[in-house]
Amino acid sequence: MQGLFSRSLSPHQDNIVGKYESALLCLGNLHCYFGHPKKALEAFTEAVRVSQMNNDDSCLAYILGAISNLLSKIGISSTVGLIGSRYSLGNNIGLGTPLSIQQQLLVLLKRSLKRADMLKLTSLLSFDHISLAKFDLKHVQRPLVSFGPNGSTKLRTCPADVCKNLRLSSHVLSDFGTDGLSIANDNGSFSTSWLRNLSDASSSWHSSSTKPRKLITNDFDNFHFHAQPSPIPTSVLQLAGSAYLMRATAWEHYGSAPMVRMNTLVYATCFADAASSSELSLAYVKLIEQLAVFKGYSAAFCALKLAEEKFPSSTNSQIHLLKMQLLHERALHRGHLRIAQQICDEFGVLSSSVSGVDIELKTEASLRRARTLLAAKQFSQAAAVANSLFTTCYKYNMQVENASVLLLLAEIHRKSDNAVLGLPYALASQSFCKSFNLDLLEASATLTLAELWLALGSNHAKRALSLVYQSLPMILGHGGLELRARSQIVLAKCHLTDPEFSVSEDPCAVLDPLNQAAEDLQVLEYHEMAAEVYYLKAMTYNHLGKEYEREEAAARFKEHVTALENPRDEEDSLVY
Amino acid sequence: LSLFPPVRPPKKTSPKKPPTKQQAAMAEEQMEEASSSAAASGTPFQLQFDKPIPFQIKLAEWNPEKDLLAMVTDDSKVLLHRFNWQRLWTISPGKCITSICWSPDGKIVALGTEDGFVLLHDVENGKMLRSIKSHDVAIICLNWAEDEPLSRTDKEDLLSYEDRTTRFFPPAPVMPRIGGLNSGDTGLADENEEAIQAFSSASCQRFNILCTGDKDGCICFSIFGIFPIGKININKVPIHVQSSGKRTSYRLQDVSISKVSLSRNLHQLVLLCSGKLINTDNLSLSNDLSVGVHCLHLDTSIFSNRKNELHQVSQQASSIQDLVEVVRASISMMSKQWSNAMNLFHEKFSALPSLLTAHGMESSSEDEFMSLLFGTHTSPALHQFLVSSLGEAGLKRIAKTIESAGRELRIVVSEHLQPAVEIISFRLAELRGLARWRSRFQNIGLDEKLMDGVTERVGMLVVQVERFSRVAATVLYLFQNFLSWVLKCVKILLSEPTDQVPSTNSELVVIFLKFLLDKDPIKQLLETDQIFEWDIDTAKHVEHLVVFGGFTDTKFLERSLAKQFSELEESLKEAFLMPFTTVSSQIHCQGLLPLYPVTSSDALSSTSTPASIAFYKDKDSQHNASSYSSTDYICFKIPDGSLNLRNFVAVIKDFCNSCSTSNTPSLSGFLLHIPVEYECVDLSLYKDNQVVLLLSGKSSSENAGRSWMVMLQTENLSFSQFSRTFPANYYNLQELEALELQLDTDYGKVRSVPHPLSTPLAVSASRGVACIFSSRRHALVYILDEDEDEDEDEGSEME
Repeated sequence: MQGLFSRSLSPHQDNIVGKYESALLCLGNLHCYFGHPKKALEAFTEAVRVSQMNNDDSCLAYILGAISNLLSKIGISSTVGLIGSRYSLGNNIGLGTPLSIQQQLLVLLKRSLKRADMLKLTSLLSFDHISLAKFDLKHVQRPLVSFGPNGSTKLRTCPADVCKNLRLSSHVLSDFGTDGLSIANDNGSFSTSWLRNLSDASSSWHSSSTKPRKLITNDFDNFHFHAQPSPIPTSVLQLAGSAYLMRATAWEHYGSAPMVRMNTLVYATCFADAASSSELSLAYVKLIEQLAVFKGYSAAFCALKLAEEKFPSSTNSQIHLLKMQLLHERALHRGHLRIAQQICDEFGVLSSSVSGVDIELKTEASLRRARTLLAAKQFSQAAAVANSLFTTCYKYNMQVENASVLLLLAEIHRKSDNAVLGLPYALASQSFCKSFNLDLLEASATLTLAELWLALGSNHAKRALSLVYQSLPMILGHGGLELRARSQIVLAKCHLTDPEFSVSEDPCAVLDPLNQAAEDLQVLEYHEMAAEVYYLKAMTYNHLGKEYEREEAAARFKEHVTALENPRDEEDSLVY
Repeated sequence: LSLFPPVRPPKKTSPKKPPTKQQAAMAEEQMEEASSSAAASGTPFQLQFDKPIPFQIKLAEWNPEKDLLAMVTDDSKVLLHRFNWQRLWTISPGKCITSICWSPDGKIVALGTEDGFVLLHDVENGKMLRSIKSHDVAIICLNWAEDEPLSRTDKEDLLSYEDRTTRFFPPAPVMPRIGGLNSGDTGLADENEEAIQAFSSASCQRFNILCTGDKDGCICFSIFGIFPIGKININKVPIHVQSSGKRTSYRLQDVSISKVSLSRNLHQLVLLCSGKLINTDNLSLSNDLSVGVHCLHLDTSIFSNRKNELHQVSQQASSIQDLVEVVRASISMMSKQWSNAMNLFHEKFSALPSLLTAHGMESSSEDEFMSLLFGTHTSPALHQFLVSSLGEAGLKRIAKTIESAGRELRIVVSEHLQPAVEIISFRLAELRGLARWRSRFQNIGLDEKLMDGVTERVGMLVVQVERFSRVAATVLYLFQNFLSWVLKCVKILLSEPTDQVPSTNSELVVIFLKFLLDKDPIKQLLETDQIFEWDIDTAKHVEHLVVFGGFTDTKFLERSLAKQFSELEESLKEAFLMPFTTVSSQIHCQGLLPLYPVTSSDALSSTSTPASIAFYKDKDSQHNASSYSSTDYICFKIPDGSLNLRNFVAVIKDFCNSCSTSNTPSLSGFLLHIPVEYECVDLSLYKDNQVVLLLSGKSSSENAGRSWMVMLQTENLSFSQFSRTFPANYYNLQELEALELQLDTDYGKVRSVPHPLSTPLAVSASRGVACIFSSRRHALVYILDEDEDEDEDEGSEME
């Protein structure tokens, strides 16, 4: 999304808006892009003044969009005062109470949207719809004015709105002709590209005529690169493509893995020619993440290599970040804690030292540090890191992150045999997930809850089992290998601890999930959990009196435990 | 159903104001007569009214929830009447209707037609919601059973499953309509759409199954009446009979199903059918006697055991099927709209080449436009074409047509096609998730691999839709540009001011002339038989994406949008066929009871022999298990002459249980001898183990024109057990104790009807009413049990 705005208008705006205010607008955008929010705001304020003086409505609409973009970027980290006295947005709606930064953002977006709609600025309209979708994804929209007891407040995010906004933003592709700004100039660019393609086109015509099949050339097909240059401006294509990327992001939150993959693929297939490298690399990052979660590390690293060739890592931080994430995950799974710690430290270095900047990166770094500590069984340190992370997230109003931090805390308490302490965290995480529609995370919180109940004693096995059943459709459908394996293990454990359940009567109820989990964990190279699976399997076979199978499972158990405890060739973990 | 609050039969009050005075007077008179006679003689059933009707009624069925009566006339009109005989609607589906039933919630009436269609109509307005072709021949019987909720609420239901779609998406798109042209009557159409929407969402509340049986012995099952989940052919079902330690296999031939009934716990199905019973082990054993009416018990426990899974799957799958229809309609609509616009364009512009040849020029129209664009010269032919044959008005008309077609295309893509495909892909992703839960969903045939394939296909379809919208946007823009350029030229030629014409891009005009004047890339994408060329760069890009988890089928860009859609349809069909066949294969025949033989001449009419099947919940059954047991009652008239019996009606109970537990033979029944001067016209089982009989005086006797309605409490009659000595003796109904029915006994309630009666008899257990039809075209409505009105009132208020 970054830089999207400046591209979408820069080539054409000189037709309509005055030069000075558009220069200011570009300046502001650049400041914003390079991370100088204060300077950017100064430029925007000046631009507002000038365009108001010149009655330049469209420029004003763009500036509103740009300011909202700025707000959404820095909003979480800014404190009151940044947008304060000089540009008093909060006060001119007449309520007298200062609005929170989120509400200011919403007000700005809605205003920009209204103006863009009025002035038929389709690109801006589309941009505003995407921004609104982005806002709706993470924020509960509360009515600005609600009086009395009847003011109903639904404390949930509204995914249908996100969907609506994204659909509306896609209209930009079909409506591009009506945008006053995007009328193509007669500057010969089409002829140039047409001439350039002429030789290719004729040669391909010769080659295709020799083919036995009757093929049709669709001259306007975007998959036929010798086709005619499209009159659709690149900026419009980028906006239309961003809607798909945004969809993929939304589904990452809401939990539908196939939808993430599909939307990213649509983007990578249809919009690759027009996309900026940062957005395209984001799409590839999403695809590789999916691979890592569903197909294991070898497939993901294989794809990552290709991606690194495509996007040289010196210019692209996203790919680099992804590489570190994958390496960290793998190190954790393999039990190479020293390496994991090392990568965590690298993460810490990546982010800027100024407080409030790069907040997402910092959040991730601490989350990973806490997980590493947890894997090293340093529970109190892990809990301390997670707690401080929670306060940070709370301070910056990052509700969605809160949910996962709470879940991590529950996990830490579970692992440190403090199930009772873990329960409230898991429940809190669950309710956070409910209100933000984070279905997959909710399912995994439910699973953690089941594990906690199970840890409380065998008389809670029934309750735990019903919790597992509740979360299974979601986890099996959309969860990654690790989550799936975990749920299968918990399922088997529920049966095994249930005093009313007898293994000899229904061995499949235990063995099927365990086999499934063993399969998944093999791909993931997750020694700790694999050891657990084989332990449970050996126990089950012992009950059943199948000695040969029992010995086999026990041997595998030993294998994984030794691999976990004596990490050999730890240096391997940095190679892929 | 806010339109019809339940209308209770008004007790001892005058009926609601009828339409005409004459009728009102008549009704009051009848009411008085009825109530006075009831008061005088203590006649059991209160006559609500007696109305002449101008039709011969063939079928009639009471709505289970509201006091509404649906009737089918001899010429296959469907009428819906209120309890006060006010008619709500009449429809003529244009097909011969052979069966009728209501959905369990009373919101839909299902009609079976002679050519094998099931039509679902909305109770509110009679609009057809669906038409499903599930059979090849006439559908003789319908039965729509709903899973009865257990008294214990399933709060701890292990499978509390939420359909997430409504949370994540705005309401699903509906079929596109031709907009603009007929915007006047959108009100009605909107209503219809809303009804369909409501149907799709509301019908999925509680699990229910519609069974349809046809003349050729096939039974189809569909969940919610729309999602086919099973089909069995009775002709092919092996019937195993265990008798005296020996197992014999039988099969039925030339089966025609006359009645099906699924128990309310969906556990068992009882059907009556006529057919020839043959011994598959020893074919010589069959004789003439083996042609007869048989009663079969099918084990449908798959429905009750897997109802949660089936519910979830069918809920998703039926919505997907709806949306697939939306996609189909969208594509065909776009194709139509666009080809209309293009026809006009080509028709107008085809005048130019002929003009060119007329002027003896050898250039093409493209060359002519080019030279006009570059300002070299305007040939007289082009001049004539632009100024006179096309003209400003013609040009504007073309521009307007193309613009409106373009707008339609845009609307269809953005409001129907894209949302529909998006929701399909989401729902498929959910189904795929369910398919992964193998221990639960594999045994109803939800296959993970097939679902993966479909998910892959729908992803490709999304790419194709995106490609289409991009091509369409480009082409439309070029058209717009070209047409305004031509307009400008015309204006210049006519020396008119051109400042009103929007500015145009001459490069795009060149592109248009080169690539669009005689080609139609939009049409190409909407046709199925096109294969597209694509270059090496794209191929590389797509193959490159496979490493990143892209579509493994890298050839998909060769296909057109329409082709991709048909592939999706195919794989969907395949994926949904799997549950269909899996479930079908798990329905087995549990038992057979031959009822009575028929001679082959009777065989045709045997389907119309009155019969009724009902399941009653066992009074002593405990609600401890996940299901309760129920007892089946079968009541039928034995055709005269068969089994050497005349004027007999048989009642059998506990057939199902006797099949499943062979060691405790509980099969029992009795025969009822109707007084010789009467014949049984129709019969029906009624609540609390009662039987309602309609007896009409035979025309030869002195009682001609006099009829009786009899309600018998079967518990007062003695059931005698009878053994199934089959196969030694096929038919042993004669063993049963025969009782003489006296019209003045205490067996039950009897009321005389002063009309000769004809079929059908429509009783409603939930409403406590009966409607009978006289052969003199009268309809009479009786209230069967007044005592229970009070309780039922309370019950209905609580609803």
